[in-house]
Amino acid sequence: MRLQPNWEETKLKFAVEFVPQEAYWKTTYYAMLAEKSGYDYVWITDHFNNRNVYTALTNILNYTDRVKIGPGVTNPYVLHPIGLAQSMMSLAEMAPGRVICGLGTGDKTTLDMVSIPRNKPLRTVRETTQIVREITAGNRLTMEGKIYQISGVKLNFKIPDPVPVFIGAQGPKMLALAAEIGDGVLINASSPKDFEPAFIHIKEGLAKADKKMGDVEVVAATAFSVDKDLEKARQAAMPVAAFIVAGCPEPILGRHGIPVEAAGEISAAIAKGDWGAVFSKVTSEMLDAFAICGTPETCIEKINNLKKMGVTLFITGSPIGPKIHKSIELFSKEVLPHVSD
Amino acid sequence: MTSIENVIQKIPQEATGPLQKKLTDILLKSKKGQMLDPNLAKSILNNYHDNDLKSPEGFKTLLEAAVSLEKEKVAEKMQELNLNEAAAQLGGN
Repeated sequence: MRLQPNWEETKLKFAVEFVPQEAYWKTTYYAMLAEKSGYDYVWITDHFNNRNVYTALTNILNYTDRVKIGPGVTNPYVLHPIGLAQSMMSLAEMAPGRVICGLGTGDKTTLDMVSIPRNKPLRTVRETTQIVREITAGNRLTMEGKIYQISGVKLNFKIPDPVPVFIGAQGPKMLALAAEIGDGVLINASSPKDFEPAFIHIKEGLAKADKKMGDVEVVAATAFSVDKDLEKARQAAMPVAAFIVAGCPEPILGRHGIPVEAAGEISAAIAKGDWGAVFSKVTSEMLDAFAICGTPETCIEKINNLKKMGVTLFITGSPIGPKIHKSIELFSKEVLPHVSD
Repeated sequence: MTSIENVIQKIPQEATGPLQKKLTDILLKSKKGQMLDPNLAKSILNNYHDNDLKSPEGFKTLLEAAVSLEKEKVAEKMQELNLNEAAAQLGGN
């Protein structure tokens, strides 16, 4: 059974992404605040050095009534896809129709720390998507994949509808694959310069599956920071921008006119833990390339630009702002009313 | 009567709204969040879910939680709101 979600509404939708690095009750509180503030989705990042993503999502489901939730994003390297499918179904049993599986290939740095090789990412994501779809649809799955072999597996409980799969992507092949097989494409970018080429690859993937724009959710997974004080908003975004620049592939740095050497210097300063040096090396150009940050007016303009390009779901990702709860409230009052129609 | 109830007695009704916002800020900014008593944490989440943080029960929970993590900061905020008697009562607990 292939899920055909109705993503055809033209209204831009909004998600917030939280990193479960604070006490569980704070993340839950922020999720409730986001729901009360008008957000449509809450994503929780998945890294083994933070709180467990499924524990965080379970608690959020217990305390929210409307928002859709999901790991944003998990990977099939740390947890086998059958465990992932089981987790998704267990969550969906608690809140049918409100659970999305955000899937990616994981963060290489953290996978390296536990000696998990990130082998064949395209094939792995393709097969994992199939496993999650089939299992959450309640089917008995037999599969002779290149990565996964599964023999007659069916879980002992059912949910009303299969769980949609949104695929995180940055490179051309993964973007095309995400559009081809996913229910949503999560584009890790903040600048129109990165979305322009992304849409080319998304259209390639859609064509391969005989799908059209509107059949998939096109998601801007941005580094975001809003505050009434421009400088405070930009300062808050600096650490995130620094990490993005440090790990950024050369072609993307080149697209934004950022010298590879500058990225190398930031990477070296991060490795030394010299945060003074890190922040002194993050330029305005870097912030504008890899984050949406500033006053509500600035953010409105940038969000509307992405909407015009074809983005259908906008994620306010980490850091969100200098103070998370204040920035969520500010976003709700002074940004959302100007970007959601 | 518990000590928190003694403190609440010193807070005029009209001050509970402004103080409630400050207590929430203190809790969310606290670096000691994981030390919060799990029952207090659940009570905060339950009250927030039901839009009851402004109720007497919700306010008491917030105050108790904030005092348990950041007693000095709570006293400071009380003084900023001219709730000196409440701050003094807190200091005496």
